[in-house]
Amino acid sequence: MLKQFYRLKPLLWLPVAVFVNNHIVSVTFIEGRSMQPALNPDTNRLRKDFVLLNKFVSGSFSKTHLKKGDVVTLYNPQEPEELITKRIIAMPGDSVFPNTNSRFFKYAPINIPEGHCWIEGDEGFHSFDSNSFGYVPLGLIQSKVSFVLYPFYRFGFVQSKIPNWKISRIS
Amino acid sequence: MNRVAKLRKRTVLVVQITCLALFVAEKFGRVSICAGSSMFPTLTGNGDLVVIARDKLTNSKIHKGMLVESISPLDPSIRVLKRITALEGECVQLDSKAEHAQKIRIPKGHVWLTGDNLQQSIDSRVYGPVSIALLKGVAKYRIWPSFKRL
Repeated sequence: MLKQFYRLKPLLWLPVAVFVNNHIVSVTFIEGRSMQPALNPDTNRLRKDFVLLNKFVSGSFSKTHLKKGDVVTLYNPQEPEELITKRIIAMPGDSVFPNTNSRFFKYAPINIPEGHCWIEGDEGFHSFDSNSFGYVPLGLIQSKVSFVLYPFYRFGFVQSKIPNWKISRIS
Repeated sequence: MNRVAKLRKRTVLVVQITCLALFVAEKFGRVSICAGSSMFPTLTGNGDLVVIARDKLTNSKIHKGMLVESISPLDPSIRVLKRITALEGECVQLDSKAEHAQKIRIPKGHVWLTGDNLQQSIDSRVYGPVSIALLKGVAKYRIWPSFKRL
């Protein structure tokens, strides 16, 4: 009887694998074109980027392990089941000018309150981001997109840098 | 068996059991200690033990009056326990006594959370509507100091 249980012993590693996948590191495909040209530069829908996610940034780690320019995945604040990939443009204490076509645009910068951040896709025209729903709480952020695994010609770290044409809007 | 091998085996077992416990806590639910006077008549605020069922909350699963656990929008490392008092699309008035009270329309995918003890609660009146994606579980029972369905 006990011998049979011993054969199931490798199954004890399953929760460990789930923990690693949920909290430390995970992989996923990126969908959509809102992060062009950093991710999915090819508009062809069959060619998706396969990326490594650093999950060590959610919860209490988000204040110390996230910075401006990081590409993150977060829950869409308006659709609780949808995950979106965006770049952090401003962190608490910064102020940012929304895009001129945004409904938050008022010729004055928006101050980001404690515990929130301003996120935008790199591709301004096909992105559903903070310009449409305002600043988002850091608690929505699930992971940081840190490494492109496939396609191989772009194999490497994802640059943590705000695009040049956006820098003038942040103060 | 030498001592090092024994220690290694023990460590591996402890890691596996910890991960199993975390998995159960995240998938099904857990017992949590709730302190703070913001939910006063419902919970005493002196460290009540509350059973929180972990559930992926969506628009169809929530209703008014539910007691939910949410990540605080002001600080992602803190969880708060509040009551849903308004759903998306509804209008809430910030101060019912003021003449020109500010009315807020709750946007899509958000809810309005308030504590039961309105005098001592930091809730949606401070940080505005809360996204449903921040809600992490439903408080079902209180098991200490006395058993109560919430």
